[in-house]
Amino acid sequence: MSPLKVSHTKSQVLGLVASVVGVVASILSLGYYQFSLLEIESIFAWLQETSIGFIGAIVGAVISLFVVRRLERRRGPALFIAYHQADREIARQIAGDLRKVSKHVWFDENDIKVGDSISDGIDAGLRASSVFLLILPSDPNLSSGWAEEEIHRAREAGLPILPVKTKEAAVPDSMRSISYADLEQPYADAIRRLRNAVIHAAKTTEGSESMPPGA
Amino acid sequence: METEDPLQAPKRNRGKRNERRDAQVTIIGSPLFIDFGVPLLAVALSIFLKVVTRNDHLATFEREDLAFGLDLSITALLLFIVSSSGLVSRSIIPGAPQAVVEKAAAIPWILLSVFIGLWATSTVVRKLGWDTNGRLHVGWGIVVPDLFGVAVLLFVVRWIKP
Repeated sequence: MSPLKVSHTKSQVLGLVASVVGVVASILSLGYYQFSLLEIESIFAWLQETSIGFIGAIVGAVISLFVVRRLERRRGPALFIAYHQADREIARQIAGDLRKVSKHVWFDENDIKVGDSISDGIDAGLRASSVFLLILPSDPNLSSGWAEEEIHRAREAGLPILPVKTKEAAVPDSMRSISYADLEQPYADAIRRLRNAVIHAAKTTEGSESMPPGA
Repeated sequence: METEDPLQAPKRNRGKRNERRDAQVTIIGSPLFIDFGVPLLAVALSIFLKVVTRNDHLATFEREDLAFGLDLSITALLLFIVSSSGLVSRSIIPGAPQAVVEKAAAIPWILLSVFIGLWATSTVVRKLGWDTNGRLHVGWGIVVPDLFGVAVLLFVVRWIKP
């Protein structure tokens, strides 16, 4: 390691220590002024008031998160998830994670009951959905025929397609020009990207639906 | 059956209005509202506004929306400056109470500590608060500035409290 790099690191560390000390000193000095000027009876009274304030802040954060989540779900689109049976586990996981931003996630094992017609169930699911999520099969041998059929189904229904590439999946020819969520990235990043894409795709669809003919 | 005197109805309505107004004043003026309700509302509104003003392309809630600390501390600082200007004008009147004069004398030092805190917190966030993917780190990027912001807000709330 070169001396220049060492001194650079040292100055960085010193800067950081100074910053952390600055934060602590600032909070402590505010505490000191509270004690000396604001007629606080005892340290217990101060601790009590401060903890009530921090609890209030935490409750505020929780309430806000709750409201935001509710709004996201209510405003979110209905989502249709198409997957190959071999990828059921990952499809379940994705469906669970996207429920936070969708008012309904159509997932065959939940939405087609025993004894129901499968094709009628799928048609009803497609009619009720505004975004089509296609999980490309992880087995490349299964990929092309099955995926092309699903893409055709989504296009017939007029739904925007969001492809999700699992680790081994091959991207079909008709999807090569479309950006996909890649599960080879860290899963949390891929889901975050997918959530934003779901909401954006739904908004784009709504916008194009509301446009006058010929616009 | 007794009929209601029409002259009594407006009086009764006025009485109800007064009761409602008294209840509102009691809630807003209570120490619990100031100590608990003000931080609750400040934090809840900060997060909510951050989320609802996001770019449509990044529409979902992100952990970055929880980083309200520096915004809150700036708001609290402005509140402190506004409330202190009134205090200073009261402290220069001849015969002003000693407590008011002492409080006014401490204002520059308090401002200095808050500015140091703002500088230090923003430096900590800049240097330690981001991970390699360009997202805020939960500890240094969110919790530390939030703690600082809530601490400044609580101080100012108590400073203003009669």
